[in-house]
Amino acid sequence: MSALHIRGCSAAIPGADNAWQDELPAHIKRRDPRIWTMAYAATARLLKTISEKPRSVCVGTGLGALDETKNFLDGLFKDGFGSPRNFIASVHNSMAGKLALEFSIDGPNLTMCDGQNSLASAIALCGLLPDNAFPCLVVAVDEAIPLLQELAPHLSIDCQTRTAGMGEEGAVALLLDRNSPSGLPAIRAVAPTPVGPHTPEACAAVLAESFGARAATVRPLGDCRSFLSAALQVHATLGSARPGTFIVPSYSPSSMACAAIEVTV
Amino acid sequence: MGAICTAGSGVRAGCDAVFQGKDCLTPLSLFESGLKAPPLCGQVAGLSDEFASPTRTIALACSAAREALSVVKNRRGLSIGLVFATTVGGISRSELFYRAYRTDPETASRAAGELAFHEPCAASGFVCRAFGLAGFVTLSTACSTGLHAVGTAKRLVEQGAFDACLAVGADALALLTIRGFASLMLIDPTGCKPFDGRRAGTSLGEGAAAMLVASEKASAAIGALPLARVSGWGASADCHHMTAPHPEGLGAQKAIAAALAEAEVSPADIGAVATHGTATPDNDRSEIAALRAVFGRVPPFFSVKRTLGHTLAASGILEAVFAVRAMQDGIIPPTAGFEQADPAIGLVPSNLLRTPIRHILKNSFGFGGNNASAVFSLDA
Repeated sequence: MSALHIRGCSAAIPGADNAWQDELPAHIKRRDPRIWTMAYAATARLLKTISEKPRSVCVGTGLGALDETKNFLDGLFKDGFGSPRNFIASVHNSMAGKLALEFSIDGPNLTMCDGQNSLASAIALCGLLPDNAFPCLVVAVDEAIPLLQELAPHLSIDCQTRTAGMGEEGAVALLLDRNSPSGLPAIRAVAPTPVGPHTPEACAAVLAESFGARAATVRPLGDCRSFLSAALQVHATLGSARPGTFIVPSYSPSSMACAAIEVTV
Repeated sequence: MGAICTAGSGVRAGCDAVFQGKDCLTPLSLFESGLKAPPLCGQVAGLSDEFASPTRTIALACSAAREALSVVKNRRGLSIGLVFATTVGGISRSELFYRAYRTDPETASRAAGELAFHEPCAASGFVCRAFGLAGFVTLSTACSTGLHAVGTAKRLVEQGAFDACLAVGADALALLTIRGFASLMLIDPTGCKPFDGRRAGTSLGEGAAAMLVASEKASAAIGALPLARVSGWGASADCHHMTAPHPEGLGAQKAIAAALAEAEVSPADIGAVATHGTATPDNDRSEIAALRAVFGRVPPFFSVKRTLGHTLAASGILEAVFAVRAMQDGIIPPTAGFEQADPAIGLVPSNLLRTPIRHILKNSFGFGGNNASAVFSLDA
């Protein structure tokens, strides 16, 4: 669990900043699923500021292109035929494949689906890659789909808890490196650890064991409902430029596991 | 190692079918596909589930994990992690729910728990808790996922994150995948024919496999003799097309070369290749092109897709399990479904061969231009 250096961080967050949509190339804006466009926009913004090209991709996503899955099933149930375009995009790793294609990143291409812990998993996995896979593009991306709001009244409490993470959307892109000039912010992550039903105490115990008793600001776990919560907190932490060590915890009710990301600025 | 597939439950049952080149595919009967005729698939019959698994994918995973962990005689003081590979997760239940919801939301309200298991990590969390494992990650890279899971488990052990790590790949048959592959015209209704001149698509299957990857020290502590070494893992992206492989297999070449380099073996050391061999026209041609480029003279190769079906995220581990067994037994399995050579490929898969093998290469490729290769070795 050695730390990686952060060469840059960018985001495309609908609602907070809609300019990202104007930055999309026409072929992407016209044809691609919304979740692909968010991942593309965050990455394009990031790579515009950095001369070196990534050599690998690690994507963290809770549900991938859920809207494409829904659209495929809609076609199937309504017309008896699901669109191959929807099927291709519905595969969880379609964002990572699209990023590799658009930015010519021909190294390892991995996608982690650990719910609210997905970014922590992606960072942890990035840390396992060989030296020649760096710098590595790490992207957290998820989309909100109207169907879930529509379904919400019909869902059980357990199901509502598990699906509540689907309400926020956006993408956060990080470029991580193993050997970089000192002075860059550093990041490392603890992959999901089972803690059973969510209790702050259980997560705190995992954090203490994983990161030791170092002086750090632990970001509030909050209700952890958003798949993007950890990514947005990392983005905000890097944007604030306030020095210190910050721990961003996360908890997935579907897997009953918590994870954490440590950022040192 | 553990396995469950259409050939039966347990590594032995799968090996028997694979080594004899059996055709275990049957017309899809698990659900109505809506296609003109039920496609031939690798279906698991009589799946028993002692874990009260919430989804079929989880039940399959637990079956394979239990068999793989049965060799562990002592876990005291050992940290065992999990790398879980799946593409469909709990989609089978979500499909049922959504179909009902579209017809009648009131019906859906009575089946409201169905979506709770949609996320892939619901499966990994369940397996992790069921077997008391220390932590996990959930991979989903389409059909290459299983082999990436083995590689990830290797890295986690090498870097000391866990003493041992269980790589599990599991996928149940689902309407989404059957109809998705059909929409791309990638299913051969008459059953897949890997590397055959008449090949017209793959056959899907379901199953799970597990491989316990441990350091030498942990192996000794566990009390289990190592079966083989995961000596190399390579990963790459084609950067060519979202579903079609690069015609010359450039990405595959890169993954194979990386796996060989990490294993510190030369192409001539590889005794056999357990191919991805899906029997789609493009995939088989591209894979052979990649093997030619890396090896020059291609070692004996085989595909088990006609025996087991393409089990998606499970396939990389499932087929690696049988490859390791084949290496141990000194067998290169035949390729069920192959009858006629394809002049465009110019090579034919091996017949059943009995020959010593020290290193075997396993390939798995997936949508998104995703490539995984691994080398498994028997120590001298």
